[in-house]
Amino acid sequence: MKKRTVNHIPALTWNALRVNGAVIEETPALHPEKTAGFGKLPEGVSCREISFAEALEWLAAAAPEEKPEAVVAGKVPIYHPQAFATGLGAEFDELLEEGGCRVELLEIEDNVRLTEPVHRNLDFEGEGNTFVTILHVGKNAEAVILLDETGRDAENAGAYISTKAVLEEGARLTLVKAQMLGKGRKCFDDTGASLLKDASFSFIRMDLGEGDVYAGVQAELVGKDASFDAKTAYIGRGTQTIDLGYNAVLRGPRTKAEMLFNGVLGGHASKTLRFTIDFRRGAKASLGEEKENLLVLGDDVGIKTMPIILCGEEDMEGHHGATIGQLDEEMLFYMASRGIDRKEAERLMVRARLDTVLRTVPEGGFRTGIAKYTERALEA
Amino acid sequence: MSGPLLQVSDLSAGIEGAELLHHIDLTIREGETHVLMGPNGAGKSTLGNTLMGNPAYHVTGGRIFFGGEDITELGADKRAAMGMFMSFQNPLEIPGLSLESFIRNAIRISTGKPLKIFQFKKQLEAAMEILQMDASYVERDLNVGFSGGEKKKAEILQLLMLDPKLAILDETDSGLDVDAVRTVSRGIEEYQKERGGALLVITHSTRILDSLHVDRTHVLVKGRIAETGGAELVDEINRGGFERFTEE
Repeated sequence: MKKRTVNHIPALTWNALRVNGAVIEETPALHPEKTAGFGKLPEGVSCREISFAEALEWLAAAAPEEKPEAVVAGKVPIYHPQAFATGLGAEFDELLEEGGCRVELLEIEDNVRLTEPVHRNLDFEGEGNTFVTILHVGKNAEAVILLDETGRDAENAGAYISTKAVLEEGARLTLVKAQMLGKGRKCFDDTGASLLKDASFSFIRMDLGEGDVYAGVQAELVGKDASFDAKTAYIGRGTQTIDLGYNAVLRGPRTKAEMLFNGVLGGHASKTLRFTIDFRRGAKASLGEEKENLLVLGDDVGIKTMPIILCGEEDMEGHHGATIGQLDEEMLFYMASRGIDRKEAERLMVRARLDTVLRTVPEGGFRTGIAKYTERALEA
Repeated sequence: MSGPLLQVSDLSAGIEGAELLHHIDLTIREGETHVLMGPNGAGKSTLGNTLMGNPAYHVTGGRIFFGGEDITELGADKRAAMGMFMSFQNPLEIPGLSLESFIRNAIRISTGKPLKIFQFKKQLEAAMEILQMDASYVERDLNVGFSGGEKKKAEILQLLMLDPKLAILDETDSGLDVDAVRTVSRGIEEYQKERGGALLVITHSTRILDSLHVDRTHVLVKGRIAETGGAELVDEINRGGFERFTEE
């Protein structure tokens, strides 16, 4: 079995810290069988299936002129460049390609503004366990895509999800991924996006499931005034591993990237979070902000956090903030003075962290479903 | 007059090994309003926190009774469930938890009964009207981005909704402008006069007392009650300050 590294950071650090990337010794079997599609699509939206090789060609043609270059440490490339940059990176693409995955290309025509979200349940109970999608959002088009990843407890099962989005000028995309997989399901969820002038990408991710998670996002803000906003909530319990890698690459002038991570860790769970705001030369008057709030509910959790701000441009503004810790006594006393005991206070605080992100999910059955799953998870 | 609601006997307490309160005796009956005044550092907030059961403060002597029950060793949540409440000087911010959700959960948990949503909403609206709070307040995260005045209003809103038997108001008027004090006072007055709630008002200003009927006034100096009197003591302090009480 080939060892693969995902979620690379864009600039290497001391390897003994083991945060340069997540090394996956063994991946569960990949089943590329065809899975249920997007179903009936609204007018102005089409979907077709293509091979992985065709997808790479399509992406290479669609990708902005300035391709994401290989990341270099000293002068040694640490991974080969992808045709289209994603968070998990090239070795994950390789895995999908070698596994014979097919790709669904969902295209939203120019100027089409969808009034209703496009919802798709990624059900991992069936034969296939791969969902590889390219989303092409046309000029000034607008869409909300909701993906919920579900599957009961299983033994050493995999879930392989790849979503690459190309946002043309003025396009607006909200992509919501809610991961609610059962124990024993290892989730690999990769996202990449390229944004042209005035495009806006809002990414919401909720990791509520009970299996290990490796999730990565890379947003390339190529055009002027492009913006990327990522909100992520996760809850780690048992012996779960949660490994997240987010990169916002700001290339165009007046681009803007904001990333928020709200997490809760309990039991013996461990979390590694790498998040980078990368200001490239030319990203004048750009703004980047990254923030992490982590609530720790145990004494045996593993926490690795790697916040990075890279500056290749002087005219920029970058902010980083982090709050990591247990519930403080002052907060517990405030709650207690209202009759709320420690257990209920913890529950409310966990809920508050998740709700901050959940509230940004468009209202409707999808959000209600996530809220109910969250409630059950908290009851357990 | 009914029996004591709160009875404090020979109470000594402190924080991190330092004793800040010495041999305090205090009795509050149902529906009474007591004012606790004193110069900065006298131990007023320490007394409020000790009565409410803040674990950062340690009782080193004496007992506290509430409704005839010894609560000296009880946690703050149990005291709140019995009918005690404290309005904080610096209320905490809780991102992600709306003011309404917080109040709803507090009522549900402290009473142990399911909440009647329609009735709750009606009561909430009425309480907010008294405090001249915009309806959007309750949807906002608790105290996040609230001004000083808004935070204090949110505290009094909780007081009206939780409807305790005894409310300890710790410097509720500090940092508020005249209009905000008037609005907050309206809420406290509603609690005192319409609901018959008992109050221990900790303050070193007297503006908040203008609209309240005061039964007893206690002057705390260096952790000891230096003098107890009626409402006239408030007027005396207004005129002459604490000098008379701080003189050896």
